[in-house]
Amino acid sequence: MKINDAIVGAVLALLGIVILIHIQDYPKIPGQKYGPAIFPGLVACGFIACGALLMRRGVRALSAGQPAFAFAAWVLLWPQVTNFLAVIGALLFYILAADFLGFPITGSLLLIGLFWKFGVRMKIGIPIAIFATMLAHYLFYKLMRVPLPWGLLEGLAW
Amino acid sequence: MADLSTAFGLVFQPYVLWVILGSAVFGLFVGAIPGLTATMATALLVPITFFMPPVPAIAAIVTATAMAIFAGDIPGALMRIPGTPASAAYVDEAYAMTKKGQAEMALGAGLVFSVVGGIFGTIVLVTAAPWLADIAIRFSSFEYFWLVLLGLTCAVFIAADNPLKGIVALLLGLLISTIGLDNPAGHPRFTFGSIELLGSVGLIPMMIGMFAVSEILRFAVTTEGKAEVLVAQIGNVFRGMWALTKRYPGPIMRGNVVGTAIGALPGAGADIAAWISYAMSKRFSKEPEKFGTGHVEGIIESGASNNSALAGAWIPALVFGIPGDSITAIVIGVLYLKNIIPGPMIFINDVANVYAIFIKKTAIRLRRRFLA
Repeated sequence: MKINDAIVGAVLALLGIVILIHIQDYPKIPGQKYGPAIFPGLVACGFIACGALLMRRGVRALSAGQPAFAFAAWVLLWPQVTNFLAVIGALLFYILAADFLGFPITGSLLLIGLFWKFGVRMKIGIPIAIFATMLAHYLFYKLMRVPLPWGLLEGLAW
Repeated sequence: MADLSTAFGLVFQPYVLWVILGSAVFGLFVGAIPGLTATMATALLVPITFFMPPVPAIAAIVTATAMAIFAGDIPGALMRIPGTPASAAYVDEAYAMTKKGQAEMALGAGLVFSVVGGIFGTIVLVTAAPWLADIAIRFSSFEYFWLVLLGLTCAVFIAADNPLKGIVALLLGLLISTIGLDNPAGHPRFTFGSIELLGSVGLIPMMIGMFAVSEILRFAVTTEGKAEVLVAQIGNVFRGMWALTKRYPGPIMRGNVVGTAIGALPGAGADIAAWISYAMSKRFSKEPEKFGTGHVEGIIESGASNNSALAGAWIPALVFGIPGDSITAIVIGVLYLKNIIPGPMIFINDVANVYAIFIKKTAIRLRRRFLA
């Protein structure tokens, strides 16, 4: 998807302004010229400057007859759009459910869901999802000591 | 000379060689998995090296990091996901080469010139370490400031066709880096009450999000029937490497020198070296227009650079006990645990050179299996 530079520039400039407003509350360090607001402030000014330049470029492109939006082919295709949403949804699902369900259950469900969406036969998909989850769990929990959540399976924790 | 022969005697013991083989496999594994870095490989090795004598302990760390940095090129070239941040600079280039059916050359260039860079860095480490460290140690905040600025401008270099958007991307990165408590006043910036954000956004989640998730999304929305998994027979990756060496002696040497120098500076490591070298390669190339379309020159230079940076980082670490990067920071801790005060160890570290060659041999065998 291509969005005209003017729109991107406007969003960036707006972001810069919001940051500038936000950092007004940041405390000053007594006796020093520079506080925690200085660096975000510089970045915000950069956003505003770049945003202005992009807007100028975008307006030129618009007046030259270029469209404001140009979508990639997949945006109009239902399976591709749902695939896209499924990946985002899987991430959200893990973030929201992992603590409660625990890594083994969340991971398996997530992979089964994605396999189903991407058209993997369930006869193969389900065993692979469970095996891959447990392999990842072994590698990260056992070997690398990453504290993955157990959730519902707390009683089975090893 | 006597020191050298003692060092060789220390290294070529069966136990040490087994440790090297084991950590080479381990480094390859960690490096090839996106999101696991060479630093993490080192950190994970620390509890194991606890139970080893000093020489195999250091051997394990040197081997694992060198392997991890090289192995980061593998998923980079084949799947467009860099295995370690050090490969991120040329991942697009390597993937473009794979798409053109030159996966062998991309991987071979990564491997061969990594080894060249590693050996060069080690030679510099052994011969010129005290002198180089003397320069690095005189760096004050001003020099660091300009060094960091140089690194940041390189981000704009990379987006050469659209520098304005390069600057925007750079600003976005800088904005994200301000999140959290990590500022002189200790004031929580942009955390919006979230406890997790207080600790700022880590490099690894950021990298997975930028490279891995975007690659999955690209796959998810593809309108072509088949996924772009490039199943090509990977033949002899060493074919044509001599020709490349003869063709690009300048970039190789420049990558070596720049990598070693950047590695020797405390705080800047293999990833920054790779970015700077890639940008330099593009800048000084006779055919800059080919960059980004699957051109091997940038891979050669930054591949040499990130490995020589790895060796360069040992210079201040061994000579003065100042870590050149996060890996050597851990190493210094290990050295102290082993009752070795950084300094005299420089002679024993000669082994790194030997390892580099040894790694090369194991690498060929292992990689065939991994890539098939």
